[in-house]
Order: sequence, then structure tokens, then C-alpha cells
Amino acid sequence: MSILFPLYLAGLAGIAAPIVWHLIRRTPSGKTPFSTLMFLEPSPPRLVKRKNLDQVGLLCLRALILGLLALAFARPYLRTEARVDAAGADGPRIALLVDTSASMRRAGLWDAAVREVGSALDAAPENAVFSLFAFDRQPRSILDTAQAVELARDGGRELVRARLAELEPSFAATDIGRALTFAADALRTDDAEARPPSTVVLVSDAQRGARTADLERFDWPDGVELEVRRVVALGGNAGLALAPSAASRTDADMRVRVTNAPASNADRFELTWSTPDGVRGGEARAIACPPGDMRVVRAPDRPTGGDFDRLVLSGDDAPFDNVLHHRERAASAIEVITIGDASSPASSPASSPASSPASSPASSPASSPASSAEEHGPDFFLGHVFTGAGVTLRNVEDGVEDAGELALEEGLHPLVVVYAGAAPVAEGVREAVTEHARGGATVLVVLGREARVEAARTWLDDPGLELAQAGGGSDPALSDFGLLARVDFEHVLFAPFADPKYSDFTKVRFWRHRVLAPSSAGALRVLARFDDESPFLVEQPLGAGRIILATSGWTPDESDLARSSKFAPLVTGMSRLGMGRDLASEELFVGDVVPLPAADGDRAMRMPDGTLSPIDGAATSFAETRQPGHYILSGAARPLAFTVRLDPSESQTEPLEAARLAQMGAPVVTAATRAAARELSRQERSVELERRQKLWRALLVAALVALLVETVWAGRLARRSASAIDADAREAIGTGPR
Amino acid sequence: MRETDWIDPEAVLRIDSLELRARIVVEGFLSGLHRSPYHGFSVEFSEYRPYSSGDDLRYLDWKLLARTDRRYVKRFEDETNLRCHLVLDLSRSMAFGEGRRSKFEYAVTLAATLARFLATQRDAVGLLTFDAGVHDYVPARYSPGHLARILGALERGATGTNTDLVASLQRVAGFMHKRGVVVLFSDLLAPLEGLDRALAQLRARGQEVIVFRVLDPAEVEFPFEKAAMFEDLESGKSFYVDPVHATSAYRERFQAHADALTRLAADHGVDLVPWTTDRPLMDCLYEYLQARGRRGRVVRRRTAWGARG
Repeated sequence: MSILFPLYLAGLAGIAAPIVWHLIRRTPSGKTPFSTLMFLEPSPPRLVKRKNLDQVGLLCLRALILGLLALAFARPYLRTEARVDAAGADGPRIALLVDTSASMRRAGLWDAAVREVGSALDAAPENAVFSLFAFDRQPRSILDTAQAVELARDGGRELVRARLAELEPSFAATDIGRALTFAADALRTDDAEARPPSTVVLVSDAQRGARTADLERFDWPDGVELEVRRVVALGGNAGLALAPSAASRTDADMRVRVTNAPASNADRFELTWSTPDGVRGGEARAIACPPGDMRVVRAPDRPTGGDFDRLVLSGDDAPFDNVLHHRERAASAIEVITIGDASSPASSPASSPASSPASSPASSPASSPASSAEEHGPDFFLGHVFTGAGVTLRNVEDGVEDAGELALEEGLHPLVVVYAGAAPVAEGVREAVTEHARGGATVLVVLGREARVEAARTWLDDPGLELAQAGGGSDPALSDFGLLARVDFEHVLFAPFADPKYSDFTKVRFWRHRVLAPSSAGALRVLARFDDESPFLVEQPLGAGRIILATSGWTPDESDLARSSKFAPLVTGMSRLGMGRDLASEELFVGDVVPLPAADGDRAMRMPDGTLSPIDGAATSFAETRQPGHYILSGAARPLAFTVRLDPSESQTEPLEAARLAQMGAPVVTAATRAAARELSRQERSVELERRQKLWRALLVAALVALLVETVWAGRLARRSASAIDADAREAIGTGPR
Repeated sequence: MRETDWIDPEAVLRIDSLELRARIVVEGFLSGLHRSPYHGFSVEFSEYRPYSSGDDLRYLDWKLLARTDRRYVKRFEDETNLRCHLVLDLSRSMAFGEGRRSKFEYAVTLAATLARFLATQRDAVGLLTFDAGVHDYVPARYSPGHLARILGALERGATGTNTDLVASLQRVAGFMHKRGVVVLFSDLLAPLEGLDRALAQLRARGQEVIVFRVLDPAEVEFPFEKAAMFEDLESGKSFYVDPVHATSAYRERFQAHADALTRLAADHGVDLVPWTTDRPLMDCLYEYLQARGRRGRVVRRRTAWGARG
């Protein structure tokens, strides 16, 4: 039997009180005066046995009443264990979520994590069923609940230990948010009634660099708790990363960022170049970076005469993020073919608005060079953009018969520019160019002043296309120029201009442009529009490449585009589109998926550790970027090299507060809250049991019955003693019954 | 209350019958039986002696000087021989009395009897009452009506609180300028520290000290049987006492205190007369005077020894 309110049992002391009262000789209430107490000492009160307890039965009965009342108030209940079939019952389900990110490579952390998993296994109830998940930037299931139940009798404890022994920290970043949502989803049960208690046990260093965004917008399932078992590494950590936007720069102005954790002990570091074999070379750059601070410094000069492909930061206790792989990028080769009439338009009768006295401020300073430039054709301006080593620019006459002239060299960024004039382009040329576009090249079709709608229809797959002239004409008014009003900055071509610093196109005036009216049926994407809503650039994907149609040229008689700062990035961007992404200039992190060009035969990827990993010819992506370093795709038509680095967020090793996870809606429990919850549920169960049994009623009835008996008994005793006294009195006065 | 209430006539008779034979001490009780050592201004001429420088000129016999041209100083016999101070303890402990008259009533009767007896002998009688300090003081004097004054002072009852025996005796010593007798009526139920010094002071001033230690028989025997809260009459403090355990300890401590008191009295030549109130008054005076008569000289000698040592 258990008691709901044990405090009421103190009422049982009421039984003892009168008995003890009898047993204690009371302190005399009166006082005896005495002349002096100087010869006396206080005596202790004495307990004496009072043997003259008469009516012991009545005393016991009254004690029983008191006892029953006290017990009724204490609300006793019989503890009946809910017997459930152990075989059929679901034990608590515990998902162990182990962090295998790069920051777990710090000294002792992984061992600590393994120990934490062990203690979580030991602390769990006997009938718990385990599942094991590992995560870095991607969560992955190592052992799921079904497997654990199927393969093991112990809920999967030994299996978890065995699988855990096979795990080791990776080099990838941490995405705690995704991992937690993954594990919580695995424990999610829709049936609220049959839901066993579930807990996600997160074993991680939970460093601040971990991503949590997924958790913020996650609807955490009911009945799943999160227990955070944090492993902590002593000391701080300094990290080395490429400074933002420095990836595409050359060695000469390569900048790196050194961060130092607030808890770090070190504040002086050295930066040197190193070879894969660990041979250091060149001068070492000393860096003073106080704990909690960050420094962006120029990298030391790369030494010559060796394969110095990485920068190494020394002076830090945690070496996992102290290597920065970097190779100087070879300048990309570009091949530009222009087709059609690239001659100067200055011979044409139309005068250039830019030459008028009231020309715009943007064009007026360009007096003599500009006026000389006006006599040049569009190739002249392209020639100024596409200069330097590895860049070829050539013009091909329209209607050329030799297909070889139109052939593109393999491995270069191709850009085909078609100047569409009054006459339609030759069919052979059109086919060759379209083929290039299908092969991945970018074809830019510039509609000339005399171009007709057929020219546009030739290139764009839109039969409902309309074309008209706007601006310029016979009498160009200065106010009659067009401006780019809407630019699609989301397109990869204009993405570099998305920054507000570069997004101002209002200085580029278009004196003449063709008004293109694409029908809505076409799969055309308008990249930029004039202020009269007519398109300036229209893109149509074609195979692996695309055709871009411009409704105005860049020569001064058409617009200020060639003389604006936007021209070079725009046309270079078009040429880069031709080869897709430039992986060598991109900053790739461990775990990133790298797109691969399609190829006919099998290829092999040389991994940073020197091994060769075969890649299927049909594969269009490579996801095995598991270690930082340089990857080289060999055996392909076009060589591909890229560098994968450690995510700089891994260097932020300060701990993330568990309260942050709680703020994002994860029900984080600690040992204390778990114990409190257990106690609360135990109390609730007791209250429920007591409410069902209602033993206090029976006790109260028993007390009432005892009270009745006591009343009758005491009344009878009182009558008896009264009659005895009466008899004595009568006897005394002689009137007793004869 | 009339004075006869306080005086036990039988006791007075008994003393009267003894008195003529009990005159041993130099400054004895009764001036009629012996000569006083004091010379002073009195009608009874004693002797002439040559004037020496510094003598009081009042006593120079001018007539003799005129007749004989010699300077002589007249000396007279002091008629009043005994100056007796009755010192009475008024503390609350004196009010204790188990069933009979209280110790205070007993002591007052005793003092009144003695005062009456001395007055009939034409001796100067004074009274000093004390508790924590000196309460009442009637200088020693013989005059008609002086006895009434003393008896009036005696009637005021035990109103004091606690006893400060030592301080009071020191004050008494301050009042005594002439040799005489100090008769102390007290239960002496107080710590004895300092009593030594106070008695020595009194003795040094030439006082004969007689202590009537008036006790209730209950204080000697501790006959209580029921456990009770015992209340100290002087301090008002009370605590629980179970006589079963406390009696023997009480008797031991009381006896030790009495022994210490006896030793102290013997050391200083003080006549200590322990007496309980259940014994007749007359026996008290009678037995005291008898005992005093037996060892009066011995006491004097011991005093002389004590002064030298």
C-alpha cells in the first residue's frame, strides 16, 4: 500500500499524545517558596509508568478512530503495477545522432563522443530500441530501428557499438539542423496512442559554426525529446580560410583569413607554403591574432621549384583546419568567332548621335578616342575585351563554305557572335553555329539595323515573333534613346551585376534598338528590357549551350554599351557561359557535388591522397569530395581540376548553447528535467490510482463505525459508574434498596 | 502593635535572673556591674592630671589654677558603658517560615527583648536594619522613649529583597565610632565571599560581634517530599526540584556552608549562635549568656592573639 499525502500521517501522532501525557509526570504548576536556592540544583523531569490506565479498550478504540481518520486523509492506495506483455511492448526509441564533422577531429573529441554514446546506451532503459545516425553536412542512417529490432535482442546496443567503431570523423562541415530534423523524422509516429517515448540523443561538440537553419523551420514531432550530450575539447582553435572573393584571384594578391577562437591560448601563428610531402618552403609569415579575433593577411609568396600547393598555419593546437589548398589557376582560354559584317558602320549615312554637340555627359569626354572609335566596327571593341594569352578572336565571312573555319577548338571557352544584317545567314553557317550551340557554346546574335524579322525567326524558335525599329531612324532626337529598365539579375549572365554597386545600367544609352515582340508561346527568357518594355537580350537554351539575341549593338552609332564599364564583364560572361561553371575559380567545400562534363569513355578522378577513383562515362556529377585537396579528372576530353577545401565554418569551435536549440523548438531535456518529468509522471500515476481505488471512503466509514461503537461503549460505562455512585450514595444515607 | 507583643516577658525574666552573674566582659552588657574604660564628661569625678599641651581647655580646672597656679585637667567617669547596636537583616529570605512564625518575627522579638533588657540596664541601644543596603538607622542612645523608637523601627517588617551582607556590615562599621557591641540577627544565607573582610573591619573598630543566626528548621533539615517548583524568595528565580534526589545534596552543601561560617566566626572572635525558630526564645538568650560567660576571657585572649598575628 502506498500513501498519496504522507504528511497527513503526522496526525497519527495525535494517538500518542494522550498516552505520553499519562507517562510524563507533569511539571507542578504551583510554586513552593523557599528562602534560598543556593544549595539546590534543578532536577530533570521524570518519566514514570502510570499503571492506572483504566478503560484500555476505550483508549484503543479512540486511538483507532484517530488512526483511521489520519489514514483516510493520507489517501492510501494499492500500487498495482500495470502488467504489460514485455514481448509486445515497445520500449523507448532512442536515436543516437553522432557528429562526424571535421571539428570532431580535434584531440580527444572523437573518443569522448564514443564514450558518450556508450554512457547513453548504458543509461537507457533495458527495453530501449536504438538507432544510430551519423552526420556532418549530411545526415546518414547507420543503423535504423527496424534493423536493431530485427538483428539484435538487446535493442541494438552491441550493434550500435560495432557500427560506431567503424565510424570516424570526416572533413565536412556540420549541419546540426538537418541532422536533427532527419533523426526526429525517423522517430516520428503519426499514431499518438501507440507512440513509444522517443529521444534523439545528440552527441556532438555542437560548435557555433554548425548550421541550424533547417531546425528553425522544422515542425518538431510530438513525443520526441532531444538530449544533448556535448563533448568538449579543451583549448581553442585557429582556422585558416581563403578570404572571400579571393578564390579567383591570382597568387599575387591572394589573401587568407586567420580566425582565432575566443578560448584560444595562442595568439601568434606562422603561415608557410608546403608541398604534399610536408616540405615547407619560402618565407614564413608571422601573424598576430588575439583570441576571439580575425585577421585577413596576404599569403606569403609561393616558392618556386616544388609542388607547393597548400598553405599551412602553425602555432595552433587543433591542426584539422590549418591547411589551405590552393593552386594558381591557369588563365582560361577563350575562342571568339564573329560571323558576318564586322565593318565600321561609320560609312553609313546615319550620323551618330554621340557626335552631336549636345551629346550625353557619358559620351562627351570621349572626344578624340571615341570619335576614332566610332569608325570601328563591333569586332574592334570585342578585340579590346578579348586580349591576352590564350584568347583568340577571328572573323568569318557569312556564307563561308569551309566548315573547318567554323570549327571550335576543344577545351576553350567558345563564343560565336553573329552579326545579322539585311540578308539572312547562309544555311550551312547557321547549321554549324546551331551545332556549336548544342555542343555547349554561346551564340550571340546581334540584330543589325537592317535586319528583318526573318533573321530573328531564323535563330529563335518563336514563329509569332515580331520586329520593329525604335529610336534613331532618320531624325534621331536626343531624348529618344532607350535605357535598360529591367535586368534579370538572377540570370547567371547578370548575376555579377546584382550587387547594388554594379547594378546601375542607367548610364548606358541605346540610340537605336529593334523592338522585338516575342509571342508568349516561345520558350524565350528575356534577360534585359528597355524602358519601352521591348527586350534587349533574349535567351533561348539550345542543347548544352544557348542562343542569345541582342536587339541593339554596342558600336557607338547604336549605343554607349561598348564604352561603358558593363561591356567587358558582359561579353566575357557570355564566353564563360559556353563552358558551364569554371570549377577552378569556384570555392568548393568538402561534400560539395561537382558537375562533370559528359564524356564517352570511362574516366578517373585523382583524389588528394593520390588514389584514382573510376568515374562512369555517363556520370554528370562527382559527389565523392570527402577530403580537402586538389582533384584532377583524367582521361576526359577536357581536363578538369578543382580544389576542395574545408568549410571555414568548421573553424568556429566555440560551443553553441543548448538553449539556442531549445529556442528553435527542439524540446531539449537535461538529466534534471528528465528526473523531474519522471517524478511528475509517477505522481500523476499515483493520483490516478488513488482516484480509482478511493480507499479513503472505506476508511472514513470504518472510522464512523468505530465512533458509533465508542459512543455506545462510553455511554454504557458512564451509566454504570453513575449507578454505582448512586448506589454508594444511597447506601451512605441508608436509603438503599432493602 | 504594642511593644509587649514583641517582648517575651518570660525571656526577659530569665535574662534578669541571669544578668547579675553574667558580667565578665570589660564592656559587659550591664553598666551597673562594672566600670567603663571610657573617661569623659560626666558628673562623677575621676581624677586630676597635669595639663599637657594640646589638652582641651574646657577641662582645665580654672579654680585650681587660680588658687595654686598649677594647671590640672579634671577627668570624669563615663556613666554609659555599653553602646549596643542591634543589626537586623530585612531581606526576603528572613520572611520564610514553615508553619511557625517566620524567621523575621522571631528575630524581631529577639531584638526587642534584648533592646528592652538593655534599656532597663540604662545602656545605649541602637538599631540598624539592612537588606541590599542600610535601611533604617537609630543611633545608640539611652533616653526615655528611645526604646519606643527602636521598637517602632522594628515593626516595619521584612520588606527588603536580597541580602548584601558584606556591603551592609561595612556600612555598619562606618557608623561605629566607639567601642561597643554589635548584635547581628540574620540567617546568613548568602555567599560568604567578603564576609571575612567585613567582620575583620568591625572587629578592628573595637566592636564585639555577636551573630544570632536565625534559621527555620526546614532550612536545616530540608524535609520536603513532594517534587515542586521551588522559588527563591530573594531573587524570584524558580526551578523544578525533586527532593528524592536533591535532599542529600542540599544537606551536604548547607552543612559545608555552616562549617565555613563557624570557621570564619572563630577566626575573628565572633560569637556565632546558630538557632532555629522552633526552640524557645528564652533558651536562646539564656544559653547564649551562659556560653558567653564560660568563654568570655578566652575570646578576649584569642582576639589579642589575632591582633598580633
